[in-house]
Amino acid sequence: MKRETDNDRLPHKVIAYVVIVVITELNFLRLGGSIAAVAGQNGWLAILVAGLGLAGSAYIIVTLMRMFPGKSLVEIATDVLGRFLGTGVVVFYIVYWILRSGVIVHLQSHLFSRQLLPDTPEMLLSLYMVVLSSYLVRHGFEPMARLFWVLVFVYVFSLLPLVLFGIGAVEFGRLKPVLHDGMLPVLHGAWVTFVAGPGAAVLLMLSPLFTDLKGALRSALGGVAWIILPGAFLNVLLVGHFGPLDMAEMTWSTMTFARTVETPGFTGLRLDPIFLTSWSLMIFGTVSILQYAAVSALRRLFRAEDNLWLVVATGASLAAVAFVPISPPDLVRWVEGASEWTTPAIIVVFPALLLIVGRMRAQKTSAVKGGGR
Amino acid sequence: MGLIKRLFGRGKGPAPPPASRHRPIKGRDLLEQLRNQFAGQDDIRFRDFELGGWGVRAALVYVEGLVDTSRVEEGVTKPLLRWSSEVEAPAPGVARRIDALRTSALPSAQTTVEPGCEEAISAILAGDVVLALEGETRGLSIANRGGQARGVEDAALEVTIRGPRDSFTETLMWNIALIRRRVRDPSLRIGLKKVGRRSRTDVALMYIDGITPPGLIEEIDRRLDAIDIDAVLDTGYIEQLIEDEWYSPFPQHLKTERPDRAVASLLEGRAVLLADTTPMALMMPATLDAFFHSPEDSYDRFWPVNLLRLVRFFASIIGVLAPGLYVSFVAYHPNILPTELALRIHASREGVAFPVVVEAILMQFFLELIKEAGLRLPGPLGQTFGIVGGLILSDIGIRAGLVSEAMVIVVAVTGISTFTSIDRELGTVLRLLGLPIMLSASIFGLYGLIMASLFIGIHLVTLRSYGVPYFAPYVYYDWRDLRDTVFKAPLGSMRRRPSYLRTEDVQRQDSPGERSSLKGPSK
Repeated sequence: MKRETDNDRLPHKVIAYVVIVVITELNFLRLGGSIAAVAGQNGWLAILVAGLGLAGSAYIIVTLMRMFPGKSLVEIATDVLGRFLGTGVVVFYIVYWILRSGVIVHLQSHLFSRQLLPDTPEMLLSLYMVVLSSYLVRHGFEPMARLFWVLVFVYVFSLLPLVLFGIGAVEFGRLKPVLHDGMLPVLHGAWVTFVAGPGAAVLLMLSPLFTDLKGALRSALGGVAWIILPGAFLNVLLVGHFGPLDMAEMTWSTMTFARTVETPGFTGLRLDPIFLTSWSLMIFGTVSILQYAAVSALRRLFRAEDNLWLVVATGASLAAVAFVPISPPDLVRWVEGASEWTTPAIIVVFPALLLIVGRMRAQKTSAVKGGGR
Repeated sequence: MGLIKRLFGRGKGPAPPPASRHRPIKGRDLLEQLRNQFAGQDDIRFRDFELGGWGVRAALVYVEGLVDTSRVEEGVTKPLLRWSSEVEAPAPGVARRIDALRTSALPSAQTTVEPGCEEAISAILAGDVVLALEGETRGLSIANRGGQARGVEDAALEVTIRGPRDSFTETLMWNIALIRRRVRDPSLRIGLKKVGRRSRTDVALMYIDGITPPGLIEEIDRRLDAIDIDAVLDTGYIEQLIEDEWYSPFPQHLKTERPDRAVASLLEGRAVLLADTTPMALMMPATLDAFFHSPEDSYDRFWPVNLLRLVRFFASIIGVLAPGLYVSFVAYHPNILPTELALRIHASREGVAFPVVVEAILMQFFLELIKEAGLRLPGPLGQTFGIVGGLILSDIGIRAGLVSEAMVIVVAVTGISTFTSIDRELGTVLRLLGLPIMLSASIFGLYGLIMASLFIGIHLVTLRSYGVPYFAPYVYYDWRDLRDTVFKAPLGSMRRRPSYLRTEDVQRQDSPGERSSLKGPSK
């Protein structure tokens, strides 16, 4: 029983854990302000509408996975689009995943440095997370799936105190009037929310590891629901606490909320360090799954036996992105701008393209076979 | 590079087959060979005599202390001499002589024909009596073990209030019998092996056929066969030689001195390994969760068991995290604490000469020092020393400004917490792991604490024991497995064996419909 990477095939419910971990990332900490800036007090509606978009993208991805059972993005893309074009698409995904995870590490290090450790170099914080992520990725997805199971509990138990202790400070009147400017701001907010969640694309690299994909769609949609509903509720709390105008000015609105919430019975007990610390586990989960997707794609692309050097290489690239000396507000602006086109491409356009071309080819092949009889 | 490869790599390859390192033994026949082999060894007795009717010189060879000498005289020597004086000598020929002795002279004794000198030596050193005849190369071993041995006593390490009290001893066959007595099932399989080139320790691998997966038994056999060491003096040797990951601080075998716990493991689908001269059984595969289960948990009703298990789990978490949490709160995030508490801690640290992390390391060192010294001293003296030493050291430490009162409390709570661990080794490991977490917290505050804990968590989810995830059942397996984890469901609802052990027979109890008949006839 020697140790192997990816040696276990997984039940489809793991898809739900992956979706939760990969989409939550920093979004629960920073997205509130961006949504409030465009959708005002109707942010919660925008999140629900975005949920429909995320569910749609999950549907496309899972349908593609089912159409090519046992194949990952690398095999699907090269089979459907040909070696040259398919490899190009895969490389695009790899670069995207590395950049995205690097950016997340950069931002979370900045957040920690700003909130809790002002004297500690951000580089060290980033390096710590990258090393741990590489260590986990080295062991394959199966242990990651087990860790994500734990992270789902972290997710629930991080948000729960905020809700319990924060709900008393909420003025629900701030949520009114509903839809006063029509649907357009809500749709704009939904778009902002939708483009912030490109994570589900990693499922395309996990497809060969699942025992069966019959319940995959249910799990994926369940995962989306587990993000959208708490997300909408958190938005209600934040808007009800700060009001939409103040909230639109905040980069890390949830952190500000956690700082102002004080536990009854204690003076000076702030939740923000504990909340941020526990949330860093969710952020770690996102970083590691994105790195895993990149490593797995590279491994299949190069048909590598072992993933050691690929883990080291992606870890180094990830760290290099995280070390880029750029101010976090600029980085957030850049990421939000780039996400406008990268996210739809990653979770809708390319999977849909592969699905349509794949179906056409399958029909053509079956027609040829039928004619031959 | 080798270390890195092993840390990140594929584990150990199979060991080469053990080569015989014994020199050939000189001698024309078995008797001469044995005399040559045991020359100068005064505890090896050669009881020489002549088989009357045959006119053949013979000797009974045995180790004094390992056999019952009077029984040898009464049960072997006398019947042999009597029989040989009455019968005529058979024609020369090893098979006929040995067979005649075996079937006619010693019909009631448990005898085995030893084909060569190596086998005869093994039998003698294991405590059997070997009959060697002049001019013959084969011998006859007669089971007559009767050396001094400790009797079955109360368990010393796994003390429980409820349940059986007997524990394993140093005698393998007694230990096997203690298990047999509890599982009167012919499917209980016991495979005996000899491990250790020089010690030739008897090792018994026990499992229940039809429950334990055959793959597990094959794997354990393979690992046992790969052991090539001169002596095995305790199951601890075997444990270290066959574990999955040598570098992991976590124990990868469950250990027990209690036959009831070993049987419970067998019934769950695990295998049990016993070795001669050691009262500690190994059970495999191990999962982290199983280390928190006391044998008593199965005997008490589930309400009190849940409370105690919860205490044990939380105590372990406190044991690992408490020093790190204290260091990070005091050094980096005092504002998290309630103001009153923060002020009191600040006041208690007034005049302390060292940074909080040095203070914590110093106090942890004191704790280990007292514990280790207390263990080495005789019973009551050790206990007294532990209490007095602890009080004096902490009091003087506070007065001298080496440590603060708050730190004494934190380290005391840490120590007590880890002592609640069912497995002594795991308790020590938890204290050990608290150290890197504390160091990480002293550099990065809460971030360091959570990242170091994450590192341990990652290690736990990557670790396997005989192919079974060490972190099972806290994963995505059958939810029914969670009925016997931190929380224990009522016994009646635990109808299946743990799915992660991949047992052949999964059912432990009948379905609820069949059980409802216990409540009596319905109206």
